[in-house]
Amino acid sequence: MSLGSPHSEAMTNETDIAEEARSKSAQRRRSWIRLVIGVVAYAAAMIAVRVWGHLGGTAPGRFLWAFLPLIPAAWLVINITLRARQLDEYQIKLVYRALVVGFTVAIFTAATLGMLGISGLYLPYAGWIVVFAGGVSWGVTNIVTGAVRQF
Amino acid sequence: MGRDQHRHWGSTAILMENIIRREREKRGWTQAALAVRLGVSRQTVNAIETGKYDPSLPLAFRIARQFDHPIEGLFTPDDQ
Repeated sequence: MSLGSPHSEAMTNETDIAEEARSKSAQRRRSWIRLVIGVVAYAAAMIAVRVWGHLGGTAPGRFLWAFLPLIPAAWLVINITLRARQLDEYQIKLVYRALVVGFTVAIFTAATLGMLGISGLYLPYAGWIVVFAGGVSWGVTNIVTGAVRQF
Repeated sequence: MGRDQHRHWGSTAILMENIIRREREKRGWTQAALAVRLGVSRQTVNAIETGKYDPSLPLAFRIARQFDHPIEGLFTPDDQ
């Protein structure tokens, strides 16, 4: 790939570069497909738990149902980790910013809800409020910094 | 514009100017082609060229090797 390459070698290099760019693009597409599969499977598992899990009942099996979404969640964690390993230093920097914001917002939301709980105000589905606050702030920061385009 | 964005996140480090775009265009390479040569994304090459991102030392060395220039010939501190 040196600059002084003979013409034929330069042609081969250009072909290699185009091939590698295509392969990177395919790799990125495959990652996206796996992530979408994970998100859909997670949503399906949540719906299945709500419909058939009877979490509000008394059957001991309800605890197993509550853990069902962890299967697609594990798939998502594995695939996100694999994708993160493919990111370069600038992409990691962008993704990191959104994670910092999302994590901080989630922690302080949880702390605030905890304080409200101590003062006697119990909010139903408080865990979901934490998920929503962390997830939205993470997503919005990804959009603002342009990190969303890196995936 | 890129520098403002850089400072927006609180970075107080001395920013670098570079001649990557000029050197790349001199060779007729696209950003995507340079990205493949460097093993990074096209967005990363664009961020470096527009001054939004200063590369790490290992990446700066890879860039210097591609253009057959010393690092200090490609990157200069903004305050000079």
